[in-house]
Amino acid sequence: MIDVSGEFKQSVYAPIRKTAAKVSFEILDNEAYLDNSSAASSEAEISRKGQLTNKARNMSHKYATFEKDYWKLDGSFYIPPRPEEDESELGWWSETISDETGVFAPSQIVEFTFIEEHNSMGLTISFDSLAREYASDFSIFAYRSDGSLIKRVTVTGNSNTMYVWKEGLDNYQKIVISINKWIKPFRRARVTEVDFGIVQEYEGDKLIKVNVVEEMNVVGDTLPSNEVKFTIDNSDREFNILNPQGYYRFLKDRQEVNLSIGVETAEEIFEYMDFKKYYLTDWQSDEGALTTTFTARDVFEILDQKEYATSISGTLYDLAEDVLIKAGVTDYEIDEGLSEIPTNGFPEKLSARKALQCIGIAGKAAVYQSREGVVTIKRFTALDEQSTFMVYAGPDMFAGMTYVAVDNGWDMKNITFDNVYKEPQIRLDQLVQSIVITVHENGQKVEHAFLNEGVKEGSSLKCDNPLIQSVSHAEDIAAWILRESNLRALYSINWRQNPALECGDIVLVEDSFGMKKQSRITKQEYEFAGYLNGKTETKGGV
Amino acid sequence: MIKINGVVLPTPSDYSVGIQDISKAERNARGTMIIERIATKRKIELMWAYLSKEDLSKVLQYVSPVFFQVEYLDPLDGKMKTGTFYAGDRNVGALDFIDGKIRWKDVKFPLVER
Repeated sequence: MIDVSGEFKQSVYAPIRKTAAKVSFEILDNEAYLDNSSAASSEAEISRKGQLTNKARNMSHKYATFEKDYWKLDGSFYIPPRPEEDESELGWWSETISDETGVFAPSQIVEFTFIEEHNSMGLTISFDSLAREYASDFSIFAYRSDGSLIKRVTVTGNSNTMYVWKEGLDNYQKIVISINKWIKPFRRARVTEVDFGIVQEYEGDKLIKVNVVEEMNVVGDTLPSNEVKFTIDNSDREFNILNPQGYYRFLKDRQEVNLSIGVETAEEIFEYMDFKKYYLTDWQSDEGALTTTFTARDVFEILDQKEYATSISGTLYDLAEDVLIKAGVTDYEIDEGLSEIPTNGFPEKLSARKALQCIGIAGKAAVYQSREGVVTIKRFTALDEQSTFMVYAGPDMFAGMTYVAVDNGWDMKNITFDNVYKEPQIRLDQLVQSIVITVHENGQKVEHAFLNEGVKEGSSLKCDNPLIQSVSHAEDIAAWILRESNLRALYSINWRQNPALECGDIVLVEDSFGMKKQSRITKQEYEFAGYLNGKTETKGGV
Repeated sequence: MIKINGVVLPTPSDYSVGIQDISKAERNARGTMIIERIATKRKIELMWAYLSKEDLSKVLQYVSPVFFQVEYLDPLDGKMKTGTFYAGDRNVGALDFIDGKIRWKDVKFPLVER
């Protein structure tokens, strides 16, 4: 569960609530980020020019410098890190300081050159949003490889920390940003990020509807890809295929999409839950062309097209890390328990997605993308009363001076009749009598059958995973799968939804017998069309 | 008292502001109503007992675009607020018709927040 404030907890299940959603998606030339080299007319010692194109659009902190009337001793400023000291985001800082009117003499120049020609729907410059400072007067030039000017824009009186130049730029090989004047006197010019394209944000009237499907399979018989689908108002025809000034020709696969769903905690103040790092896969103008619908999926859709050809041996942890690094995934978390399981790796090439699925089963772990966009391989504890919050005594209970250690999300994890529209549907999954696991040992495949004790009738599962390479490992996996398969109660709940709940969370689902059965969330569906509702599927014991 | 796209309208004879909650209300499994509030919008009913031919023409032209900005006195906090509105049906009655000249009365229409 996502950590939320007390106000959120009160608001999300209130009898009257208000929700909101916003979607931001990039219309960027992603190749331009890998292909550019930058130069600047001057650079301060603390500057990190290399961070100008890393898609981080805010500095890590406000950094203290001796620019006149800048460093407030209110605790909000940080001492800048030394070069290479840490990963703090600073972007580019000029060495030259503006005069008493904010003018730079000479103008401060940042220049990007590219090996290949690029096309993008304009350019976005992020100045210093934390300090609320920006260039007021500046120019941007786009050049071809032969030095001829394609387009330029001269901005005077800018009043925003982010400047978006919405203009179709075709076949450019050099971009020059010339900063003439800063909003305040005696300042260094500061640019945190330059995006080759634009980042569009839709909310309120512009966002017609949003649908999110999150899925996670603890046992790992599938590795689902989460999906975000959103429809925006296209009455201005920006996304029409035939509009020569529109965005359509700059839309490309794998543009990053981020979604936030919020709950109003005070009048017009929303606390948002983020659903980060989805990638655009499909877009279409809807009938009548007044709306456009976009579909984006998480990283597993991309990993399906990445091949993992040369496997390593070692532990499952090493193997998982190798798969992710070779597939270009930088944000990941792997359960330490996987480093205790030795492996000889994969005998044949396979897709990175399939490889991760095999690692998940072999490591008794679920593989999923977290809300922060981190690929996560995590073992879940068995669903039993001792391992969860069922022992919780009550909210905010004191025992003398000692707090009772409890699950602080207890009140959020109750799915009661107060918030469901109909009594949850419960059905029983098929009973598993046995599982046949193929053991891959010394180039041989040998099948081993394992029985589910106490079950006389039921189906038989098959598991052929090249990472199960010993009988004892197969026995361990079989016990895990059979234990999970005994949790056969499948709950389907149509309700108001709570964006703080995630797949893998254990919830208490109320039924008409007054019981509150605990079960684990396996699927979350969110529908937002002015208001939020959705469906939750959980799996637990009978 | 009220402006459309920055232009002051003649002061109306009747001015009433409705506060409308747009909601999706449904009963939960216990039978209790739960409400998902989508938005709260304003509906302004305007009426002029009499308008000159010129003023009437101007007023009708101001509200002829599909959407327009309205600055109005909001009863919730007694302050001027701005929002995007559209006009409902415009009704105009004839006061008299003398020597080929018509005079208008009871000009009324609602402005509905987008």
